[in-house]
Amino acid sequence: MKHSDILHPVSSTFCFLSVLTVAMFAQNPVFRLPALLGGIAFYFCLDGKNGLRRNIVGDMILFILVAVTNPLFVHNGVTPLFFLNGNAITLEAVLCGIDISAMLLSVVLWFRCVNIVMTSDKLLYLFGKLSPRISILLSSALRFVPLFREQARKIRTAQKALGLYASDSITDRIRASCRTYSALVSWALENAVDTGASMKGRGYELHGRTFYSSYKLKAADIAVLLVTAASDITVGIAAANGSLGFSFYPRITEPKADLATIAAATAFCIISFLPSVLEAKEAVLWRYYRSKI
Amino acid sequence: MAILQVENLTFTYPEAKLPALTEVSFSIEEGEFTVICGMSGCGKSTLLSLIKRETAPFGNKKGKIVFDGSLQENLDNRASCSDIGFVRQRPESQIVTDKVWHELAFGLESLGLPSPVIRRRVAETATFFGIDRWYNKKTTELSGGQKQLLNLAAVTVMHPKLLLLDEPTAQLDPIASSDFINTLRKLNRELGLTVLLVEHRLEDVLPIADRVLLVDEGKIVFDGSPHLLTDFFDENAGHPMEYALPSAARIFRMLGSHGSSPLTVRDGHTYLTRNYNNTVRSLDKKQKTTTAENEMSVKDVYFRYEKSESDVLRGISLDIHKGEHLCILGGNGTGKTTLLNILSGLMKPYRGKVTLGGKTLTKYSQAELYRNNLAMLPQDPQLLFLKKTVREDLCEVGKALGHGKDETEALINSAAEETGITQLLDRHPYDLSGGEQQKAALAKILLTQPRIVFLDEPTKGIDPYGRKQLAEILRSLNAKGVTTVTVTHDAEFAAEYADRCAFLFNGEIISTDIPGDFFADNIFYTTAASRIARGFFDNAVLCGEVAELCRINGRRNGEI
Repeated sequence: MKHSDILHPVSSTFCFLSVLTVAMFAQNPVFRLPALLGGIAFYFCLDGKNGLRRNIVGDMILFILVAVTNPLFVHNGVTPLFFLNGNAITLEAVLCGIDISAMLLSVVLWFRCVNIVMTSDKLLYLFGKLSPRISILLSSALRFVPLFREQARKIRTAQKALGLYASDSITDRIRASCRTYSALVSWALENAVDTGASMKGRGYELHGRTFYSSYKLKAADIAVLLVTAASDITVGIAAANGSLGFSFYPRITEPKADLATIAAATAFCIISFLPSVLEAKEAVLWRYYRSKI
Repeated sequence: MAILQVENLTFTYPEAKLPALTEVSFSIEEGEFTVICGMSGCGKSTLLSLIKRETAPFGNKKGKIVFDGSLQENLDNRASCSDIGFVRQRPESQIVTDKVWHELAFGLESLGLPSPVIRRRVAETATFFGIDRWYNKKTTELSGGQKQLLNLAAVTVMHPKLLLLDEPTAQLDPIASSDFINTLRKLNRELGLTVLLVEHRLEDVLPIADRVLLVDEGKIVFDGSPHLLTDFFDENAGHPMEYALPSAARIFRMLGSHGSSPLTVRDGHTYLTRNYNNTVRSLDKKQKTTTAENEMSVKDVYFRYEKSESDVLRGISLDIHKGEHLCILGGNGTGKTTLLNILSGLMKPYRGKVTLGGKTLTKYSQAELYRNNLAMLPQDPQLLFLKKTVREDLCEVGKALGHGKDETEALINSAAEETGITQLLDRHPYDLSGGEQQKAALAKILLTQPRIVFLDEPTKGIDPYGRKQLAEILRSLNAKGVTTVTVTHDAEFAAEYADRCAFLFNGEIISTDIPGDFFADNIFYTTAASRIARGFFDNAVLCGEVAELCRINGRRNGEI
């Protein structure tokens, strides 16, 4: 059992939005590091060894590529390390490259987590709160994509057994695709007539649509909301103070160490690690509960 | 109290010369289970869809429809949506949302009910229908039977007073279809829901119906108890709906009896044992001699979809003789369709060999294989249609095969004549009825002049008369030396029209036999006629055979 399955979609969304906003827009490495580490920890909790094994090579390549490219093209900075083809490779550019890499990677990781946590049910719930109609549209779109793909496959097989797909020449294949496409369109239109009747018959056109969902806001969900909100306020104050800004060129800025910055960094640390800590807590609890089954 | 009254209803579609319905009048009492039957295109579906205002077709309507005491035009919007539930033929296209729970909630959301009420009603309905086990699934992952149950549940959750169903089991296999009918029966008996069901396969539904309406050419020609339906055919001999009667009633009629007919297997059996002798227990059946010349043979074929999955087919061996009609029967998920795909070369076994005319399938090029050799009629004939008219569709194949214009024309005409679709050539393929689509699709694949035709569940969703026509087309193909291989659930079809039957179970061919022997020994997987005659006659599988035996034995003396 994952904690993110239990957490209310609104709490999850709020937490994700808060972390992602800071991870994307704060340039200060003090914020970048917890965003990255928190992302790694949460993704590990959600997808475990599997996901890590599947993605680690790609992630490392992305990280190194961006980190190396920056100093190769940007020669700004005051501390040259060495010269390449008469261009200075500077310490500032290297660090900036690493910083950008960290930002990209943390955003990628957090979005992967969003993908796992925010199932279509939860998305529908959120949209349903805004407008029940949008939610229905989204829901039927989500259903239509796999349906369309399956039908395309069926039509292709049926046509193949007719000898229409038989040759391997490109023109034949293009013609075959066109045929499949036109058949798909008439099928979709035909289908839509039935679906429309079914929607109308069950009152889609009535006014005052409500939205049903099985999510209830519990104390734990409210706690997550409050902690995230508190962190957002602290970070907001620091941002107004200019503590989130940072620049590498020409010279690395002296990191600010005033109260607002320290408080904001601490608060951000807390919400970056909050999801993985909750998952870890849930895992321990789950072990305990399971021992009782 | 009558919940529904239809008075002098006449309906004409725009641009149609003749009305689809003329002067139809009837009334339905609360709690009644009524079956409306008739041939394809007789107007029964039009009648049903006119009853629900939201989905009524456009056209010129005269007459009155009164629901629950008020004229249809004056019904409250909300009441009209929730009080009449409608389930259509195709399970897939009626589903709106991506998740089962959401589909159940859809109608209640429309009515604007608060969340706790929706929660309770959805939970209660899901439990009643046994949906709770797949409540969290995606709707695209469900089987056809589950989809149709979901459609029924999704209208029942709105607490309707009247349920309208338009051939809801036409696309389902026999087990899913009897599940569905049982659920309907439960809704009717336990909740007192009024049910109005349009159906042309009467074997399962007639025994549970209180009343039956027979529609013919837009008119109601019979309105009464299902037990008395046989009397109608006595007066109108040769009416095509006769083939749709339950086997017990057909035997009853074949024996020239009048009055209240038996409808179920049990009553049919009692009727036989009470009224007839059984000194002669079996018929000398003339066996059709098939040439044992092998057209195609399958040897030790194994197949699985993914490396890590288990085998779908486990060591299948099968010989297909030239010019025969072979039926492959079996339950759901036994690998019937997979076997058909392997036979037609669309999938390849990882072990074993399929040979056509002595040459392995893999040695044929794609072009060779599907021209003059193999052809496949898929379960959904619509998959084959790409153009605006049937004729254009057929021309397309001619062009692909590289025939000239005149040659194509000649081929099309002969294929159309063979399948009896000459008058349908200029219609849009989607406008045809299920049976007509089937025939048009068959014409299309016949253009490739195949040696073997594979058919996947060809009797699904077509009326009994269409089924008979299909069988006749297949017979004439067999006579010309074309081999036909049918995969089907339909035991009645196989018993009547197959030369040999093969039973597929758990990825293996359990037995291959001529239908007489094959079905006579089965208890569950057999025809209704064979079940009626069980323990009374041996070897009688078809209604005609049972009736013949009765005639030979004669009536019991001293009774009746």
